[in-house]
Amino acid sequence: MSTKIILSSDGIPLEQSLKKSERKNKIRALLLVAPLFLFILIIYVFPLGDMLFRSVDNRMITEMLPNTFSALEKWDAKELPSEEIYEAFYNDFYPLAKAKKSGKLFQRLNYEKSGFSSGLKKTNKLILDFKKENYKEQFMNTHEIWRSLDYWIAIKNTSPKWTYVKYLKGIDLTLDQQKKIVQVEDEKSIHVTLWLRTLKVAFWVTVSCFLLSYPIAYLLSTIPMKYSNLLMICVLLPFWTSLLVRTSSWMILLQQEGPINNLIVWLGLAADDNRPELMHNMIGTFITMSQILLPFMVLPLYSVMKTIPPSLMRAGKSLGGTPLISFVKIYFPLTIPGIGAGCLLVFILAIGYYITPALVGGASGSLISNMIAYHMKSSLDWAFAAALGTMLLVAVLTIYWIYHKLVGIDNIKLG
Amino acid sequence: MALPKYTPLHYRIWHYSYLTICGLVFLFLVAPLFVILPLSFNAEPFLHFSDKMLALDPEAFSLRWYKEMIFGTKNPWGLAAKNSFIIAIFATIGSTILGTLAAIGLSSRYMPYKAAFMALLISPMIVPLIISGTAIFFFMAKVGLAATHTGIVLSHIILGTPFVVITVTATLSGFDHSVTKAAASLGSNPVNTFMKITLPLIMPGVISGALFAFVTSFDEVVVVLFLAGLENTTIPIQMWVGLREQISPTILAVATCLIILSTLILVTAELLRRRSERLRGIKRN
Amino acid sequence: MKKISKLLLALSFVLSITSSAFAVTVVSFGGAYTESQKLGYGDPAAKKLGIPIDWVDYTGGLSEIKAQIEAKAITWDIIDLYSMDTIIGCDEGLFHEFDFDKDFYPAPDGTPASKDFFTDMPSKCAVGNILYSWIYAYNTKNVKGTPKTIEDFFNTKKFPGKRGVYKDALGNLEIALAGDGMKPGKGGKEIYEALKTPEGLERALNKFKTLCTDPKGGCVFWNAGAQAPEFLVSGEVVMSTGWNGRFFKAAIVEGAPIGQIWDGQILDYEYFALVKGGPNYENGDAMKALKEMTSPEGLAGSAKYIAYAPWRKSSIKIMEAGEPWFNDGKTKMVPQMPTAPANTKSYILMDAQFWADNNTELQEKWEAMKAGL
Repeated sequence: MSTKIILSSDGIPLEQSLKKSERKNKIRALLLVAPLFLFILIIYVFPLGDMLFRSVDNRMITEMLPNTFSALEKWDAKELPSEEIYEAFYNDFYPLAKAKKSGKLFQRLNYEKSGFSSGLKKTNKLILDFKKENYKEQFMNTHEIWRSLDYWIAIKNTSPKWTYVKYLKGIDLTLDQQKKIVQVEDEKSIHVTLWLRTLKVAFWVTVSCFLLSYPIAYLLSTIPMKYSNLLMICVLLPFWTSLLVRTSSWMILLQQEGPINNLIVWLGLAADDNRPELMHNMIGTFITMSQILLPFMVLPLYSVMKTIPPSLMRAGKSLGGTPLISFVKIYFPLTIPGIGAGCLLVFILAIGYYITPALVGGASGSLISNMIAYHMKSSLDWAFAAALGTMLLVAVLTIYWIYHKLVGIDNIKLG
Repeated sequence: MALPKYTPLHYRIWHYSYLTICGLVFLFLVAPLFVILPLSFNAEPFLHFSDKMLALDPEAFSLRWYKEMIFGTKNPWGLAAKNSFIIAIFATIGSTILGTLAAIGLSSRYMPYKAAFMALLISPMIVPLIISGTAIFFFMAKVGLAATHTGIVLSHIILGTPFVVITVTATLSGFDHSVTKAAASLGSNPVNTFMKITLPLIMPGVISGALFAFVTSFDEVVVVLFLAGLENTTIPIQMWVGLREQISPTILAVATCLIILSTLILVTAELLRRRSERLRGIKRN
Repeated sequence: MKKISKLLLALSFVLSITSSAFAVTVVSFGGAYTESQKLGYGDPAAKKLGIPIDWVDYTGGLSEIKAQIEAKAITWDIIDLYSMDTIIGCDEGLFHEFDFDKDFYPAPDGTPASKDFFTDMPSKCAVGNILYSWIYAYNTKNVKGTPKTIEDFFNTKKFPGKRGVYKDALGNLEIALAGDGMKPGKGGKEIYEALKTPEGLERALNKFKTLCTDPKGGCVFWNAGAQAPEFLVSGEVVMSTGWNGRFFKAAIVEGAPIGQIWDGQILDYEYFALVKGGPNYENGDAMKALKEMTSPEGLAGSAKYIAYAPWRKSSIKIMEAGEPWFNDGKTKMVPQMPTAPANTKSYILMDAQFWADNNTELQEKWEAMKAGL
């Protein structure tokens, strides 16, 4: 069988010509996406990578104590270091103390082991008058940390230029003297609790959002347009209103003597002098986040339900099913894509919530994001904040990926 | 919603309790917003309904906090409002242009790795703000853009583009490509086709995306909290500071204004959406 | 895109000129206190010098200024600080070191500045501002009976209800021991000695743990000075620790139902420090503003608006001569001061050096206690 090559009008084989124009279209499409792609790459993806880098970067301290670390290399960590090591530390620390640049060192070493801050602060003052001999003795007279093996081991543990210790700390683990991974002391193990609490709150917020939004999404999708448009405003108005406005309204509602508690007392559900505590705890975080995230569940559910023809339910009924059976067997399965979209969206948003828990959550209602903010703003342990951030990012991207596999990213709809 | 007469009783009960539940959920959604309005007229400096207010004593109500908001002695709201609008407007322009172009590219059927690109371009909407804020802060500090308007605008463009990409892609999904082909076959160049044909048709989608971008920037607090210096303070920052540190009902006066603003935006967005559906010939129900 | 980025650059340039970049920025604790500072000496100083002064709120601590230095975007000029932070910041080289007699005004009678202060400054970087108190107050409507002593703050049997507690360890550990029966007397030196031992610290932390987990008690933590009276009035708590000036303002000016307890008060000093490398450091405007604000008349001026004692002996004389000094024209201010004899029957004097040395570790333990509630 012979094939005849089809030519286009200008004499080039059609297949080739088509490919060429296809390639041209492809390039055109890519060029259109390119500006945003590059922009996001530079101002978003690169910073995220930089954050990852920062979480393992330990060079600040290795640059501050170069002599000490090279002297410590041979030290066996069995007994207190020798005179040379103390001298090396003096040579590193003295210039810093003199130039008043040792503040970062206090901070850095204190993240490693509590007690460094006060010990180094005291040393910082006294080191200026040290005699240039008997360093070990002079240090040991300055503060008890210099008489303790543990503190020297802590210094030695900070010597690698790159470290994953911050990630261990994020799940309440640490390295012991033999560089084995061990649990941190009980009083300091708060991160696992926070992770679990974050997951728990995100889970229950998702569940309550689902339970609350399913009936109203159904109502919205079945009643006539003129009513549904009006009711839709109830969903969209909070959606468009500033998060802080909504949070502040809850701060008023949930007060001890606020409207909700007044209502509870008036209904006789609680005694006046025994009002339930609705704010500055987990309940506050839970209620407020449920309300704030509710529209993110209603909208995807609604957009799916709108596409289900009402005749399906009627068909179920006419075939003899009770409303309940036709709902469970016919209607519910059809709404699953909407449920998936809504639940994952709410869960992802809830897991990273910061503002609301910070304002209504108090100490027991705060989440992992509040911990990140605490290390960014207060303790200034930026490396640890970056490590926690990276861990949270991995969690979110995993869920995002699952979402993508199950629902498809391009199915996100907004109202 | 009246039921036919022959409806059995248990179904009636079920139906009305269902409607009651829905009513309560709608109340739960909207009522919190309205608690702010009366309290913003409180005469006392506390975020609390005084007994006098509950008794509707006219003396307990005043415009004190609205006056404070506008004429107060140590008044950050003027600067904050100016910054918020400037930042939001520039961020909106940036994200609308970048987002619309990208959406057009993504909607082309010749676009390779469509899903992967889409996933990446939407990611700023999915990644928790606290992480974006942390990462962007480190970056901006490194390049010397911390505590500048430019730094904030750039990060808000990032946060706003996913919304533009989503809404414009959605508009383009109902777009009849034969129109542009017709234009091309009549000798129009691509830029001309885009400006004269495509853009006017997808305009409602672009505008509603732009509205999303505007609101995202205007309401955004976490990233700004990390990035902003004193001169870049915005309305959300001042609200945050106010709620945590000053606790004066001025916040409620501002909140009332913001609720009015969001109502206006909602109405605009809703009108645009309907117009878009009409233009694209989509009929609801 | 180029056009846009050019536009953006142009815009930020224009904004950096038109906005208040040249104003001296003073950072303080907000609310009634900042208002007293602004009206008392900020505005007069700005008027005299022709340099605008901006006031910004924060909740204490050095982390924000350190973060600004780290991010190379310093926006603060002068900070109103806890005494411990002036010591820490000075040792870490964040602040300018003063030459007191040269940098500040002498008293009206010619006494050099360093002799006009109540005590020596805790560090070379600190210049005195006010004396204030950590006291506790209660809502007179919600509390049955009248609390009298610091023990009553922890007595949930006699006075059930939630307590407002400061977010940080500072000040709390002291009152915990005082409330646990360790009488502070005049100054409370023993309390600090006890806190230096692990047992004393444990005892203090346990006191709060018991209070906060008590079903009849419970704690709500406050960040900002304005929150303490807010919590009391809104019924969130029945008693709260706080700064005396805030309670004074809420009770006297706003007429809120608040009673103040001075027993076991912590007398503390508040200082200004000048940020090295702040936006108005090189051109000297920040120093000029600070000099005006801390003049004898300046410091006395702030006491017209709040019940905090000025740092200079000469300012107190100015106040005494001008009584009734409060801006309502009828309230005498000297008896409202934390230093008034009636208020100092039993008090703790804040040990700044103790906190400067140990704050990091104490705060860690405190946070762990809070996280375990």
